[in-house]
Amino acid sequence: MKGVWAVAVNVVREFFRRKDYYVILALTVVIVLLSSGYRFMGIAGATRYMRDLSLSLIWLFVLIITVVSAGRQLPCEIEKRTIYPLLAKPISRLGFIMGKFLGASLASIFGLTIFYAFFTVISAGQGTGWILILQSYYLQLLSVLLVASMVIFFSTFLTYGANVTLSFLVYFFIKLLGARLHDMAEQMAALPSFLCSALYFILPHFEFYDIKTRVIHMWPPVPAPAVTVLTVYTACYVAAFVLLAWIVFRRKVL
Amino acid sequence: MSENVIEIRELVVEYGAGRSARRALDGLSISIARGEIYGFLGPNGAGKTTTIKALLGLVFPKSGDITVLGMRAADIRSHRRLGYLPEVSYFYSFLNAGEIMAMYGRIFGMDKRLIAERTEQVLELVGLRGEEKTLLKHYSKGMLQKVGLAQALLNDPELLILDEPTGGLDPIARIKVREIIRNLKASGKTVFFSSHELSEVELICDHVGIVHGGRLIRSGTLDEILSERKESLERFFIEMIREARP
Repeated sequence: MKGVWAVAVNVVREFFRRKDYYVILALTVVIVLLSSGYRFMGIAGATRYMRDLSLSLIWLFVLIITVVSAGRQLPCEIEKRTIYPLLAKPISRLGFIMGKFLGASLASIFGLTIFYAFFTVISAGQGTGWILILQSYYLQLLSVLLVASMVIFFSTFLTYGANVTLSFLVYFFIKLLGARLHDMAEQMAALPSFLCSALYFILPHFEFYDIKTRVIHMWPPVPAPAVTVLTVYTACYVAAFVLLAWIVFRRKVL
Repeated sequence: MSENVIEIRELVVEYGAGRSARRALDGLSISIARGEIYGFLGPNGAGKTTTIKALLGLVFPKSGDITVLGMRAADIRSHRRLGYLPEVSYFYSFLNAGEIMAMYGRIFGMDKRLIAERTEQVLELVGLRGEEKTLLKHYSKGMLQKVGLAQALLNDPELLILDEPTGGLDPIARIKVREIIRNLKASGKTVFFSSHELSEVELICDHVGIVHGGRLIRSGTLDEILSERKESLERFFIEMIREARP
C-alpha cells in the first residue's frame, strides 16, 4: 500500500504544480462570487437562480478537473517514459493503477471541497439545509470516484485526447439519456430493445448523483438508505473499472 | 539456487502481432554471475533496450525464460533488490531530486529516516549535494543522468541494470561513474550495462556480450575477446557485426 500511496501523492503534487489547475480554481471562485452578487444587491427571488448557477458551475468544473487529471495519468507516463523507472521499482501494475486512480480522485476531491466551501459560505442564511448541502457534496464525491475510475480504465487503451473525448461523450450520454434508456427499450423492436436494456443495466448512472434540483428548491434530504445503496453501487463500479483497467494494463507492452 | 544473477534462455520477444509482428529478440541466451560487470554491446536496434525491458518485466517474452535474482522477471519482489538507470533520464520534471528519492524510497517501503539518510548518501556519491531542492526541469542532461544513477542506487541494490550510464556526462562525471561502478563490484554487486561507448566497456567490464539482430553473436571475458584477435574492442566489435550480417 505504501507504493500505491506514493504514486497517489505524486499525482496530487503534479496537480498542484500545474498552473492550469489554479486558473480553473480562480475562475470558478470568481464566477461563484459573481453569481452570489445579486444577493448583496437585494434582487428578490434571485436566490434559486444563484444556487442553480453555482451548483452547475461546480458540477461542470469538477467534471473537467476529474476527466483531465485522470485522463492524462497513463498516457503521459508512457509518452514521457517516466513509467520505466517507476515500474522497475517494487510496485505491481495493479498498485500503479490504484495509485493513479487514488491520486486523480484526491486532486479532484480537493477542488470539489474548495468549491463547496465557497458555495456553503454564499448560501449561508438563505434557508438551504446543511444536511442537503452535505449530501450534495458527498454524492458528487462519489461521482468523482466513479468518473475517475472510468477514465483511468479508458486510458489503458486510448490516447489522452481520445480518452477525454470519449469520457465526456459517455458521461453526457448517460447523464442525459441514462434514465430514459429503459423506457426507450420498451418502444423498440426486439434486438434494439435488448441492447438498450443491456446498456441501461450495464452503464453506471451518473444522474443518480445529481441532487441539484433538491438543493435549489430546498426539498427534504435524500433518505439515508438510498445514500447507502448509492455508496455500495459506486464501490462496485469503481472496483469493476479498476479491475478492468488492470486486466488491460497487466500485459501491456511498454 | 543458481549463482547466476541473470539467466536468460532462448528468449524471443516480438512487438506487434500477426503478419506485422517484428521480432526484437530471437533466441537470446545470457548468463551473468554474481559480482560480474557485464557489458552488453550492440548496434542500434540490436535488441539491447528490449533485453533490459524484458529483465524488468516491461515487455513479455513470446517464448524462453528470464530469471532475475532467482525469480521470474515479472516477479516484482526481484525489483526490491535491483536498481535501474534508463537510457535517457525519464523523471518527473515537476519534482526536485529530494522529492523523487522520497517517492521511490516510499515505494521501496523505506521509512523517512532511511530515505533521508540514503538520499544524502547517493546524492553525495553522484555529486548532486546542494541541488536537492532544484526542480528537475532546471537540470542539465548530465545532472539528470546523475539523478538517474542516484535513484538506481537508492535501495542499495544487489544488481544494477544500467542503460547507457555515461551518456550525456562530461569527462569528469564519466570518470566518477566508472569509479562508482568499480566500487559496486568491489562490494560484491552485479552490474549489467548496455553501452555504445566501447572504450567505457573496455575500461570497466569483466564480461562482454555482443548482440545483433536479437541474437547474442559473441560473449566472453574481456581478456578472451581481446586475446582472440589481439585488437581493440572497437575493432573486434565492428568485425563481429560485419561477419554477422546476412
